[in-house]
Amino acid sequence: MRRITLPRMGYSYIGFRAVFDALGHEFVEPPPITKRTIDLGVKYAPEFACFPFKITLGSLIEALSTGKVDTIITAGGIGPCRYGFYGVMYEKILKEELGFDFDFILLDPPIKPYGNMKKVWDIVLKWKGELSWREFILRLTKGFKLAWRKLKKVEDLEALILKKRAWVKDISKVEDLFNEAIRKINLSMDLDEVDAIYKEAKDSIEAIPDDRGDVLKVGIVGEIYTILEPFSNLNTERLLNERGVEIERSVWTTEFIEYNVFPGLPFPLKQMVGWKGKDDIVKYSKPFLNEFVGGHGRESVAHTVMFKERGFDGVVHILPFSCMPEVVARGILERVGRELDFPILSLSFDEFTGEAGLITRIEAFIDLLRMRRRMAA
Amino acid sequence: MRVYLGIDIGSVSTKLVAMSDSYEVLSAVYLRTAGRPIAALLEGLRMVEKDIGNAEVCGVGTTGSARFLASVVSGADLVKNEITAHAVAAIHELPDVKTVFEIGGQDSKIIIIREGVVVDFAMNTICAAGTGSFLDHQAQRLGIEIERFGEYALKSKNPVRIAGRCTVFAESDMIHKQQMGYSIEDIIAGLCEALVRNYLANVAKGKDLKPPYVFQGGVAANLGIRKAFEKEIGFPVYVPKYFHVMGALGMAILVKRYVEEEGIKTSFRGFRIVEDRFTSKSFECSHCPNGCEVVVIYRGSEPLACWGDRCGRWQDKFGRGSVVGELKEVA
Amino acid sequence: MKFGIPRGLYYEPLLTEWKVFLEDLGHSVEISPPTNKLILDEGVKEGVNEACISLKLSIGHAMYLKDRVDCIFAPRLMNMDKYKRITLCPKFRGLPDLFRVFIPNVLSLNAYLGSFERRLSFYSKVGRELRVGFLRVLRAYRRARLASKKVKELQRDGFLPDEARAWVLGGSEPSFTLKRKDEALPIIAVVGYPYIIYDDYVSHSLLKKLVNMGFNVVTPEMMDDKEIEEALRYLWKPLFWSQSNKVVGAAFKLLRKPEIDGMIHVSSFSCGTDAWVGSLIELEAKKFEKPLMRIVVDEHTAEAGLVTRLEAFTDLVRWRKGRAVI
Repeated sequence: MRRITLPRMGYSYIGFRAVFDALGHEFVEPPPITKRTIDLGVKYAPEFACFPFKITLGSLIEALSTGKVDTIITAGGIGPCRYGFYGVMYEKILKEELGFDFDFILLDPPIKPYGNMKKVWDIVLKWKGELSWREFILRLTKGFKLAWRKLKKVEDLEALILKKRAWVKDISKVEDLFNEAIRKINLSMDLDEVDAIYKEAKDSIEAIPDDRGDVLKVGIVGEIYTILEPFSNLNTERLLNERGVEIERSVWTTEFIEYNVFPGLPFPLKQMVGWKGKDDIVKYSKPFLNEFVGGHGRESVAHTVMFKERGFDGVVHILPFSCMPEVVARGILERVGRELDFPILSLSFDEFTGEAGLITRIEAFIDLLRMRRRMAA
Repeated sequence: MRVYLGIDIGSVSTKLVAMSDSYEVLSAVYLRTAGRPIAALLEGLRMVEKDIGNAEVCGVGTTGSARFLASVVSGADLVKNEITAHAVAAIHELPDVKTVFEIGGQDSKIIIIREGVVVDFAMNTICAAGTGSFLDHQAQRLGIEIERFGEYALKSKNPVRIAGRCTVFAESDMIHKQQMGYSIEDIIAGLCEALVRNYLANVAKGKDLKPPYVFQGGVAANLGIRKAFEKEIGFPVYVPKYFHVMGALGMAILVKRYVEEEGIKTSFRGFRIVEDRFTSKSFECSHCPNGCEVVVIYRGSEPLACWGDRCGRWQDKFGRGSVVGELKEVA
Repeated sequence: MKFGIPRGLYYEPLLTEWKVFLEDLGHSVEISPPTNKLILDEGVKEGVNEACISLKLSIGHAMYLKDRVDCIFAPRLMNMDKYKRITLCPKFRGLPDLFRVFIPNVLSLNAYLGSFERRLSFYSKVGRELRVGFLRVLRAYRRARLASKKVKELQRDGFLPDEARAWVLGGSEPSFTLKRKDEALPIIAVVGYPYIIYDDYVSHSLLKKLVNMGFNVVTPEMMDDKEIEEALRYLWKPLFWSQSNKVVGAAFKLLRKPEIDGMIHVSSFSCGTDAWVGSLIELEAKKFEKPLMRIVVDEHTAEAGLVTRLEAFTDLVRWRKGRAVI
């Protein structure tokens, strides 16, 4: 049995827990991100590394320092976004610089020259451990199913509160219900039970009466980590909700997996999971951005255009400071905003971002959106 | 008596040291540059002359961001960058020093030394958030004299945390904290800690820090910063007696070695230059779209040197003497 | 038609290759001039917030050409390595679309240039776009390759890219070269992206300064491609970007050479790829105990500070070699 952890990103740990529990390993939940996590990450990460790298590095250092972890897993990648190289850098910094001892498992896709089938096979054998093949595949399938269901339900609830919080004055009621449901879903081991918890939470959140009006609708686009991990964006979404802005996110963990892992699966797995293709993204990002630029750069442009077509008031673009794909997207969003006459606020985050400046910009943006509504009416 | 003169002109302060043959500091002058390096230099020379009387100056070395200007005006024998100068002075003060923190008005440096040899160094890359002018500016904002900053900082029990990559952001965060009602002592101590944290995170990032530590530069006078350093690195820091003029001291030592080894006679123009009129004029070169600002230094109407052209056009010609006439006209 | 090729991220030997190719097809080509203050200011004004200086410069160079030419030739550089999946940083991929934010007339095609077939396919696509037959494309391609190979060889001999191009295209032999003249002088390796280290405005003529200060200089362009490729095996996996692999490979190789006395890594502020490149080089330099200095440049870099750092570093290198500082 291994004691495994991996970097924290929003609620994704709920899914990983389901998979590793099913395989009989112990999953050590990554500690919540705090100021200390960021300080640690900033201290040991390269100066110009992306902010998500600094946070996750800090989170791994915290997890390793507890002494409860002996294995870390991370997904690799093939670029061109820097994310694909995180694993190599984690290992270099944690082992060479800080001298931690642990087993590091890097999941690189078998694509030359970055990885090959042998590396993938070695990892499969590591996971299999003592189990028989039959048992291993059964458990793995069960684990994935449960993980997928949990992630989907958690995301549905998140989407719900991102809307609901804008309509009620006392948002603590909404959040209490939500947090309780998340806790229960995380511990549940049964598909039907997950559905039941979801249903109950959804009904009771929806039952809270709306007591605010004139709610704006804003879409969120940008880099996935900074959007999903509230501590990294200083809780921008909540700040918007509190000021009467309903939010729709365009990036999610499950969607990320659908877009990035599914297309690489071999036949017939790809067909079984229902790969949808990326036609929408390609269609809507034209003519502004005509090529995949890594990360969610192209998605940011396409979703912005979609939000415009669906009649949203504006878009908030969230990116980590110096993120390569999103910096390209940012430049192009300037043209999108100009040509479609659509307000876009780009917010970049790193360890130096102060809350005071952020709130000022958010409030000014909201005033601008209200003004536009009034002018249009 | 043989005397060696070290001159360090930075953008904020001008430092001069006169050192005897036996490495004894005879005069240490510290004054504000106030944007007028030539005036500050001449004023400094006047003060040094008063201290050393008519001792014989056998060598002059200049350093600091205005080292070329200072060398042209004074007739220096040796021009060196301030990192080497600071390192030499620190090694002289504490021969087994391993790490030097230097925080001045406009820039800050770290120098790593092993067995009396510089093996690594860094200067601030991002901006002024890790330097003395940041503190000066905040002291002004808070209406407190910079000299009393340390005293306030030491009174704090619970320093506030001030965020910001850059002075502008750090300042807005500080104002924010002020509006929220934190005490002035806690804010000042917080500023000191923010400066040290920024310094260690930017300038000293990835450097191999080992004791003994020497802390020098104008900011070393500030007890709050000294305490913040000790808290952050967990070791005592040694502040040398002449911490504020270490660059000039290093230059005096270097020029002494240089003059003795090469056996040359100094080209120092002598203290009488304080009576001369030195002026600098600048013009925009129209030779290419870069539009460099070329600066020419004159003594009376005689051009002494010029610089500022990226392509080296004027400097090259000046070396060959062919533009002296042209430059005279500009004057 | 008159084409313009902006500098900035595009660099030798591609500039020569494209210029010769388009000229052979009967078009005139203007390459934007070396970076100057006006171009930099324009790029900083119009460029994307938080982008690296090279991206801003690319936009500045394109803006310079905007009214001087009929069309900006800006291929989307996708690949220059034999492995198709080794690509270039996202800014190269977004470049043509970023130009289109300001400039309507941009000719851009996806350029995979890592092998003969891929190159041929790219150039015949360009040919189709310009309505010329395959045979003419083939002829132009051969001439363009020949010229670019010559430029590459000259760069290996230590000639600067602009001067090498001028020489190949019929100028006279340049006087300046980085090639070793005096074996006894200390050797400093300068690693960094060609669009930074050879851009005299951005790097404040760092290479020339080092030579004038009495050093021999080695750059990645002066090394054998094979050597660089071999050195990459010290990594768990290569980086995703051709230009970074070249810098890391060159640095790894040079750090292992005993005759190299020190290394300077020139990087641009907020360059994403250099976050990894810089720290990989740093860890490796520590292992081999070589002096390393990282210089980060951007539009605010002051020459004075750079000179101070350079002098201090060269003092350190000499000091380590056992020579007195003065």
